[in-house]
Amino acid sequence: MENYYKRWFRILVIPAVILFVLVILAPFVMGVTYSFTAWRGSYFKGSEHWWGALVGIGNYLKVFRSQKFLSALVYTLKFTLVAVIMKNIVSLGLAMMVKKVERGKGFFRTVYFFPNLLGGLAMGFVWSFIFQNIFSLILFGEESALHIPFLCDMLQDSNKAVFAMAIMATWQSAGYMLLIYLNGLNNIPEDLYEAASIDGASPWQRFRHITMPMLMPAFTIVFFLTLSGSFKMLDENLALTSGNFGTRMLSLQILLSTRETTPANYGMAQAQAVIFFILIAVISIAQVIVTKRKEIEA
Amino acid sequence: MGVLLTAAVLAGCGKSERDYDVYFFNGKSEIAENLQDVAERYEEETGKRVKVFTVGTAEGTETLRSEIKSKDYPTVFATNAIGIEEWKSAGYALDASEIQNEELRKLYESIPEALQLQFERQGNYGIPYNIEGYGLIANKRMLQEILSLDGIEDFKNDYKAASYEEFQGMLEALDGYIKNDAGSSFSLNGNTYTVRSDKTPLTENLTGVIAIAGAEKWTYGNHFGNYPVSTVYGTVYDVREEEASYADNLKTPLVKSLKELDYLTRFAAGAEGPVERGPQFINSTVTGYDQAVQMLAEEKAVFIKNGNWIYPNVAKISQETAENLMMLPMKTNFSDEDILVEGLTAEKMNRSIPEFVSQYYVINAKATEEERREAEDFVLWLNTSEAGRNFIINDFAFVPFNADGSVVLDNPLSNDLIKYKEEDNLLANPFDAAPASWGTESYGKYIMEELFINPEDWSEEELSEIADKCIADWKSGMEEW
Repeated sequence: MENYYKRWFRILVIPAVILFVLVILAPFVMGVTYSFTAWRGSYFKGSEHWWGALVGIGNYLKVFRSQKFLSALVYTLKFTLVAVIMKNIVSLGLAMMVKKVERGKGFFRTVYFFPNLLGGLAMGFVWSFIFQNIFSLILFGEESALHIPFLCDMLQDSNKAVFAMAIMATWQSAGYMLLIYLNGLNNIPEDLYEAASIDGASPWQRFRHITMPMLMPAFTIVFFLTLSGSFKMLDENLALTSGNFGTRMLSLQILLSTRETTPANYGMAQAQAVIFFILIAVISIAQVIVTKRKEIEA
Repeated sequence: MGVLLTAAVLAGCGKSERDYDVYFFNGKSEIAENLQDVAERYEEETGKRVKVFTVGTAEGTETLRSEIKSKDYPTVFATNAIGIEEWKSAGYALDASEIQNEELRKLYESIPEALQLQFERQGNYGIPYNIEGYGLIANKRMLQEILSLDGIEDFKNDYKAASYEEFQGMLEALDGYIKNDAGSSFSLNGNTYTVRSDKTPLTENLTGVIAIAGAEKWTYGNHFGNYPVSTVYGTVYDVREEEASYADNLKTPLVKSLKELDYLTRFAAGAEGPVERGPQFINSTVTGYDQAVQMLAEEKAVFIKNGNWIYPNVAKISQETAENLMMLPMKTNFSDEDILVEGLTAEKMNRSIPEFVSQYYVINAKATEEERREAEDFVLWLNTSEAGRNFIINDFAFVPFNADGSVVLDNPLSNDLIKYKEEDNLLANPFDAAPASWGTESYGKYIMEELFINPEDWSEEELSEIADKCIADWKSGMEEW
């Protein structure tokens, strides 16, 4: 069998390569090319063909001069910072709790994992109701017993909305990250903790000097997953705030920019997408390098 | 498996056999279902098959872009007065002069110039779907009850002639009535109206004078925005042709329009009591479009500033309220000095309503001669045959662009539109040519994010700053073309 795969490898891989070329590579190359043209979606401005409508790096210059793009970039970074920290703390905390649970471990895992199965948009609308009505009116509003202004009208303020979106994103993805951390925790040999206890290490010392270093591989995976996930977030942004109050993130900015001029300036939108691609690529390459180094160390 | 999939993908790109004669890409989701009946009827009468495809909402244009470039392209499609720029530039819009069907060409030529689909004031590229219009929609029955009137015609005429100050007096008197201030009076066109002193079963549910959808930027961003824009630009073409810097003239009208909103938002109705400006005023679960329409339908508000399209939504909640709706002009606080458009006066603005064509049928110029002929026959049939007109008036509930007083619709608001048109009390919709998303991402956005959220009186500097931002956005939006 092994031999069969080896001998026919080139032929067997053809369908996958064709599909990859057709649906990923070709559109990508076209997209990069079009980002240098005056592409209007259904036609090229001033020409029948793309090579007649080249504008050099004009679209890129426009993008970097665009206040909307720059503020979306800054806002995306802000959100990513908050979301990565929040997701990691919450999922690690949950993982340590679930690990301690003796009975019904499966039940907790399922419950925490459940939000992961729901789509971002539908959930966004559910959370928008929670933030606007449950939080703002019932739980933390002026007339409720526990008045916390920070948790009221979170979607109507640029800074509060970072946390609102992070809360929702954490709620959704913590269960998934929990599984990765749980796996990492289970791989730490118990005898390390035993030995440390005998030597008189406090719980914090045990966490700091055993759990944390031993969890580094799991942390790396979770860190990069949450990093790229937060960076690319679209659905939650759209459903919760639609980008109002300066809460537009990069994905939404690209989506909306074709609707902001008539005729739509697809060339410029494409230039934004290319920049976005480069940012994501940097994150992914960093991840590959870091993971590889870790593997060699291990 | 992979091989099969690849084969399927490749096969999908091949030429497919068509099982229709006309492919119509529709732009209005409200009539999607009715159009299936239209297609059936057309096939019965002519034996020709029509394929109808509808994508409502914002993604419509994006879908049309890819669909029109595919091998199975639409032979008739829909666009609006601004979208034509793209389709004309891309070579898809057929001009009236190239229409083969004599009768259809005459129909194109019969469209009044103001309603023609043109590009840079040239050509005539489409047949209007319908006419839509907006203003201050009132509940007739409620007004009659509060003012103890037998009929509404005198009130209507007085209202149309009334000044902005009289309009303010009316709002305050009605607000007083709702808040249990008995028996105050106001004048319209010099005639005095007195509110009754007691609540009645009909009026006791009122929570405010106007239903305002504070969470929906388009309701004030797009439609209210047209009033200040109308003082400076007469038509969509003026917007396109003037230098971007001409927008500086918008300053005073914009500030005044914001002041008017400052005033109007003090009379907003809510689900259980008046809604005040602040976070709740822009909470989409409290003051969304549906909630605002519901407040009008449940007779919690007397007025709503919106268009004739709200009728079916109101009727779903209360048929009775829906039948009692009437369209009044929105009163504005502009003076003659603010108005730069020739022939337009503040008085004329205050008795007129904006009417416009939301979508046009356009024949695909890149279709084959045969396909175009089929498409032309279909558009002609839909707009002129008895069966076609019947669909348009009774099933789509549209106001045909060439409707006169003899056309009577179920929707009283639509009937009012025909009257305003016949009396020539019309404002254009130059707002349509504003930079895309200026209404919702600039004017409407600042109103929502900086004004509606603020319960205090809005300061003059604040309004002036917002107007400056709107003008700057307008100019930069104009340059992006």
